[in-house]
Amino acid sequence: MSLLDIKDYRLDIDTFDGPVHVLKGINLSINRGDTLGIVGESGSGKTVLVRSVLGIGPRNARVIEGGISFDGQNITNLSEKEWAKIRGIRISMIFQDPMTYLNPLFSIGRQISDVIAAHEKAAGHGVSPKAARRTRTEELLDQVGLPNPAMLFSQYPHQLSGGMRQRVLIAMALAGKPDILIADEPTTALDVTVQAQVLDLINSLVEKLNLTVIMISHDIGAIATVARRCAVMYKGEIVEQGLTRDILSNPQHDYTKRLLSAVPDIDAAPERVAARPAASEPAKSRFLLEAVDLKKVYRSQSGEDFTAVNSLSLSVRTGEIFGVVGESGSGKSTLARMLLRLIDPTSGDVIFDGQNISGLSEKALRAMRRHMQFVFQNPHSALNGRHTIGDAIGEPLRLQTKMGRREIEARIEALLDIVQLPRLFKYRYPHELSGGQKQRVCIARAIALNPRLLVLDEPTSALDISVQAQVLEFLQQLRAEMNLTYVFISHNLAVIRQICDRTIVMKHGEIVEQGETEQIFLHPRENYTRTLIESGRKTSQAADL
Amino acid sequence: MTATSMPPMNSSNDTEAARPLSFRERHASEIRQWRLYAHMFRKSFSSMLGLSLVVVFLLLAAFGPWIVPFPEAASGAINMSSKLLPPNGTYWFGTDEMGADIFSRVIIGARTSLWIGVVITGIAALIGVPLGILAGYRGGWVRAVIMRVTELFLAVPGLALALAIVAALGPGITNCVLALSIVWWPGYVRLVEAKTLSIKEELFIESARSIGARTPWILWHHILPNCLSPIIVKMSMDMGMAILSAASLGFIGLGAQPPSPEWGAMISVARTYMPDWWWYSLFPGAAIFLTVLGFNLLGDGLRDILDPRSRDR
Repeated sequence: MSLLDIKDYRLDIDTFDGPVHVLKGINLSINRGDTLGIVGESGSGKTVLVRSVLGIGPRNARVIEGGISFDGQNITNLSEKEWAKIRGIRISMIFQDPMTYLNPLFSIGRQISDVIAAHEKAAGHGVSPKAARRTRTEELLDQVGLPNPAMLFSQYPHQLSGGMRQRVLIAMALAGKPDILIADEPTTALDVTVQAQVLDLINSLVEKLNLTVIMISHDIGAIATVARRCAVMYKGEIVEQGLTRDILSNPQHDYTKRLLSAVPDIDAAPERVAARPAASEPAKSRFLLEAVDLKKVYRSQSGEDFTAVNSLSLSVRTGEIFGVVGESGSGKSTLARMLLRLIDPTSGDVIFDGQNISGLSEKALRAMRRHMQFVFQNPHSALNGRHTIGDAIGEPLRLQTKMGRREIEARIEALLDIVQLPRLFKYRYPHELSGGQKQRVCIARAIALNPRLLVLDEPTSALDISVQAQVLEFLQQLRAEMNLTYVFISHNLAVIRQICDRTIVMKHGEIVEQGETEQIFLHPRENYTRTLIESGRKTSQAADL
Repeated sequence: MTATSMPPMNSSNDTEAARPLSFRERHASEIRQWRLYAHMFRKSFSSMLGLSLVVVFLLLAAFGPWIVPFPEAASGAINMSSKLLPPNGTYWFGTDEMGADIFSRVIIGARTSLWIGVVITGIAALIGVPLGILAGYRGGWVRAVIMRVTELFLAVPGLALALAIVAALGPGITNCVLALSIVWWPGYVRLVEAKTLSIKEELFIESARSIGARTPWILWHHILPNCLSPIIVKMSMDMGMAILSAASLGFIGLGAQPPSPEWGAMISVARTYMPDWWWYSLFPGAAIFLTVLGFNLLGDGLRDILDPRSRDR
């Protein structure tokens, strides 16, 4: 008999606009010791599904039909009291962003001991003494591969790195010796090298503890490294399930095929959309943007200096896509903002089209901004929720040109056509659009003034994979049509390889390696670059089976 | 790839462009939002109660002088033959020591209370909101100066300070409103400053700067609209409190002067007639109570529906 059985599970969420069918007849069964991956894009219902398994589904949810049984017990409509005996003890869960799930006010040890105590209380035994709980906590921390558990016990979440926090969260989830561990996008918020480590840890725990794992992710590579079996979810339905190997090598459903083809491949040489020769433009110099000895030092409140970017020089040719790659904390976002002087550098110069912009007055800088634009990482917060899409796209025109009302309206519609959105959207508000649509709006806003340079700060990392492919494709077309130069910042090496002409690799605010993108990927000179590519390849290859 | 997964919308676009969009189509988003607000508001009994009380109060303030049975009662007409009568068929709330109809006086008093409330909260918001936005956005010494002055005002009990100001200016309803406005604005500075501090870190502010927006543009187009919901909630709650404070000043004789039909002033005179002529102070008191209650419940209801977490529903 299977450990977890989901039969014809249908779930509606009541909203003001009527019920939304979130899950439409899910059938899934998991045996003890199994590892199941659930792949799907945002809105596919995967998170709602696993949360229902833990009884923490959305508030307005209604089960229409079917049910979930766990170890022979029907858990579809349990009371809170009965749930307490299951949650964390028989089934536990780890989450996407480890920081938000740890309380910053308590030490790591205290938080895990409290979980142990809560489980003991729920199980009906007395709570064990403090010392015993401490020993158990240190055991758990050791189990998840954290060094020096005794010291870690009294440390606080902010003292740990993202990867360590995720390990702490896993330790906490294991505190009740659960049968099933649910992992909700456990690696999404982590750097590439750390991702690989956390996935390895989950794999080793499955072997050591005979754990049953359900992992959900939009990243097929991550699923492939962990899960033996895999289910593909699309719009509330499981469109395909089976052995991960089979699904990846021989997908049956159209959606799966599309999803797999959208995953950028780190080992594929790119086929580029040819840009129009830049020679047709009477450029003043060969370089559109140059940074000379750029440096940014932040002073923390305790008076310590932190160098985010250290003596960095680069030059971007007119018409090329210039890649900047690095892990979080490498200073790439700071660099991007300094290139457009959104933050002032501590020292150094930025030269745009032969003109030094680091010395410009506020007024001259504002005028300069029409030639250089920024596209932000997170389109969800880059748009003001109180403005319509039309207002958002028209704002640069209102600020920088003397165009009349009608002209602006016409230009907004033209821009919506360029980014391939319906004209009707100008009356809509950002929260009504999907992530990919919002990013298109942000791009429309950025190109409204016909700029020459776009700095794109991780423009696709907040988007689903298939949407990412569309946006990347679109960005390349756009560059060809509008004679743009891109500075493209990303942590995703496969994406960089796909579209960038030249690339720099950053670490701790400095350039580790630079050169033609293909050269870097085929013959990396530095160890750090090699590690980065290896980690990226690990998940990418697994998906490539 | 793009062409297959994102079909070009031109075909449908062209037909749409040929025909001007109706108001309903252009404003579909706003209409849905307002219907959602109405739906959520209707579900809460206390919000609806608050709204009804406020609507009744506004209607009485607007049409009071024309619907009351004895309009002359408001101007202090004396009719000794009917003094201090208990509530009956002719005088629903009884009469006062001058023989004036208390029902008429209470209803006409609504208008006084309304303008007191509107003027006090209006002036307070007009002073407080710009200062708060400025303090929150500029930071540095500008913020330090504005916030220290604000805290200075907040440190002194509002009513006591207002009392001192009225005492200096001399009693009277105009001076009373003026004094209360002067002590009322610091709350708005605090509220708006905190809100501005969080909004200015939002990505869309940086985005506006990156397209070359000046500070006044950002304040007006980005910060202010996002501060609006808490300001509306606070103003509706403050309406009640301002009316209560003005009545308190009236009660101790510093606000409106007796023959004028102001609720606080009426209770002030009526207290010497307690408890035998109970109706004299009961009805103006009840009017104050219901008005303050109404504005507070309304504010609570508005806060629930304007909560940003409810926007995505």
